[in-house]
Amino acid sequence: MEFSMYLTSLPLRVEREIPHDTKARSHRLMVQAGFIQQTSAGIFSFSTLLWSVIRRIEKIIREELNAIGFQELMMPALQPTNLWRESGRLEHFQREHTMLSLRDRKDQEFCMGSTYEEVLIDLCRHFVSSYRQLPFRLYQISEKFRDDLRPRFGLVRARQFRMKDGYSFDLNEGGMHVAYQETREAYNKIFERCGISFVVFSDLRGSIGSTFAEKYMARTTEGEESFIHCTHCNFTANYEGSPYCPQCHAATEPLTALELGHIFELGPHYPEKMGALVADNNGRLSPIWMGDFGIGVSRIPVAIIEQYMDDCGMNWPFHLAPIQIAVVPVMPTNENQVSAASAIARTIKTTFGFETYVDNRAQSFGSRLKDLDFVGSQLQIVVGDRLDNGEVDVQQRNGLNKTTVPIANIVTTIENLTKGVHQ
Amino acid sequence: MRLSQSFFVTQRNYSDELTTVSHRLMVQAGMLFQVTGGIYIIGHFLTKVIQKITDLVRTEMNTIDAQEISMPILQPKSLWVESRRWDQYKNQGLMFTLRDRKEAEYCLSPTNEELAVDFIRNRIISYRQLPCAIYQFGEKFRDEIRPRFGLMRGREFTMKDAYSFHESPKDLEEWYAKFRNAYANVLNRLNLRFGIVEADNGEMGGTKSEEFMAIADAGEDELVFCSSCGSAVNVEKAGKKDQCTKCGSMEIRISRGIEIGHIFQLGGYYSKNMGLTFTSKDGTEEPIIMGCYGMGISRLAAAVVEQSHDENGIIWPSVIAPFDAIVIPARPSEIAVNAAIRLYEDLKDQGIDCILDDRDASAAVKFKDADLTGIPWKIIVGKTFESNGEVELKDRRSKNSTQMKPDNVARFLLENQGD
Repeated sequence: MEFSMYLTSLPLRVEREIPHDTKARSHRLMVQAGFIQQTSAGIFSFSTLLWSVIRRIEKIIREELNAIGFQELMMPALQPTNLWRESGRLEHFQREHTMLSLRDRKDQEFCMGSTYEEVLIDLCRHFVSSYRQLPFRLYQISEKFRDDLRPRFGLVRARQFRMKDGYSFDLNEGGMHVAYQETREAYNKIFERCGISFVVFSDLRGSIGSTFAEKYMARTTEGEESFIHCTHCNFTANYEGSPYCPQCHAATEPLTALELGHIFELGPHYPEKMGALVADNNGRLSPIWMGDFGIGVSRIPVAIIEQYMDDCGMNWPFHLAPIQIAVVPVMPTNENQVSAASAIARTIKTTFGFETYVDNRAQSFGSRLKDLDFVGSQLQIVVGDRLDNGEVDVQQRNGLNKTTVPIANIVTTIENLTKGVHQ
Repeated sequence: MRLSQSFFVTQRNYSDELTTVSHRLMVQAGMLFQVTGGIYIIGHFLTKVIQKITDLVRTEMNTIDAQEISMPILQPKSLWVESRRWDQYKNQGLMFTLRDRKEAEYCLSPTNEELAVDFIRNRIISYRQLPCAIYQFGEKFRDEIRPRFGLMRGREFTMKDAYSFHESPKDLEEWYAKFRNAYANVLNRLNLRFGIVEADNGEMGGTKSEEFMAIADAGEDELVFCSSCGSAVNVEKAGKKDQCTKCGSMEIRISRGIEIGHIFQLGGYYSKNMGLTFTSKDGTEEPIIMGCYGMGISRLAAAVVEQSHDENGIIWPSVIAPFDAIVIPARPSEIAVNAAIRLYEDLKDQGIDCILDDRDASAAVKFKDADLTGIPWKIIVGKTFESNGEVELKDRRSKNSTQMKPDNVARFLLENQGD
């Protein structure tokens, strides 16, 4: 066996009882399906099924960023706090108390990575001195830390979460604009490929030193975060009490949405402060121009759940479903059924690469199907009495479009049902 | 990827402090940048190598039916108090700890037995769900007194850690053997020379453990390796140093080794302390028997470089090389440059992971950098192309070269990738 395919080995266990401390529905569903397990407030372990969704999302992100010349690297979670003194951002972050910090055995102070401008500007000032070395674009996908005062809504306001952070480095403002526009296009493709319905807002306030910024927001039905959105000038911001737009003073509309991405033209501010200067072709020194591009990776499954869920539980676009195909022996104690189910699962997995599992758990057939619908298994192949005639039933989630198919035709059937899906 | 549009920094000179080959070559090749003692930025090329090692390990873990999950770096003190390891680890001084805004105390993952038990105790109730195994790739932290040797003794590093759960010690022994075998498969696929050493369980507790040691001059232990049975013994414990203490073979060699994996039969220690039980066939509540299995992923990259390099730089085995090939326009003429770009685009379309060295630099500099970074094939578009339309392919390991028309390069590379 070259892959694991039995749901008993995960193990998968769906909790029918609704957990009491979950306000948002997406959070509730994830807890019930065991996708996340809280180890302390706002800090979670991810189950095999959730992790497999996140890894496929990361693959999409990597493909789109690599296509426009971003280079992936790995940066440390521990950052020397001194770098933040130099950039002048330390006070701001300390005032908000969101930075987790610690001292090592030699009393050197570190903070847990939340963003990496300082670390990369430090790298640039050591190794980049000429315009010939520019431009370039760097990114990483890693754990980030934020000591939120009130961690809540599961992966939405977590204290440790997965983020993609990317940075562009250019000689001048024009180069930075190009990087920004290309990354913007890549972001559109990423969120489209994740099947998310999203809106992009300009965020004129941005953060310190930035000139232009936009946010990628997934519309959600429940209120993780409330925003005011001005339909007049497209301004949007976290709700701060006033119903009027601070930009143009028009009336605003309330909006429930989840922020998934934030891109901004950071400009030369921090490189200048930290002395990351490059010589142009006349030998003149000037600071590097930076662009800054984030994606809240572990929020993407939340947005998908919010947008796709129904009364039976979670639902997914096929290519991101945690269980794409479940092969279900009606009697898990019937060896013929289990071995036929295993053979079918193996064939599908090796032919298509889909996330395929045999549901051999010791629960009633009905309760297993209910669990599968709950976690959002897209296709279910039921191996029951028809096995004697060499046939199985194929159905979509929630028992839809059930047909009886000869086992010999299973590959063609799956091919037709999943046309256009690239694993 | 075009090098002219990339962050790519190589260094010919190096500091005397870089005393081990892997550390020195990784720094010179722009793969490793120190942020502060024992803490690094891992450059793009090395990131790709580590991802390929990760995929290789993942395949072996999935093959034995272990399930990949993801556990957090920040671990609450409360879980470590349950397992009765907090004071011991804290007093030892190698664990990073911090307090949050509410003064709650955490450690940065040194190892994950506590979290693994916590994950499983919410899911496993019955003997029917056993055995099972989980694993993850994650950052680990260790506040070393003297961080050194780059990725070999860093303060933050990537590890694969796995945990298995069983009804009985006998079942644990079976799974332990499966993991042991999977580890050997990984190391063989990386072409690493290694030995397996019986080891102390130390602070992990439990009954039996073994270390996987890769042969390397930079290693911190001196070992007697047996070429016949593959076992290894610490020199201090070997007694007579002219034959294998396991099988008696005389085919031994004394070398230094670096630990790249450590596997443990833990038994019931964590289960008893943390209340991890299952309902047995007879209906009684029994503690789950555990095993745990660590592998140093970033250290594996260092071990490979220790064993596979020459005077010009790193020689990556193609299975984990950062790129399959590098296309080098070696003449400034328009005809050579354009042909190199065309070939690079064409190779990419055919699924060859290659880079183009289109920097404004001399051919000599480009050759040196290609050798330093250890890419398996150099594809040189130079004089021979200008005269008879052929490019030169140079094998990094054997230094053999061969000439062919650009149209034949993709097929040649696809047929000559395995080493």
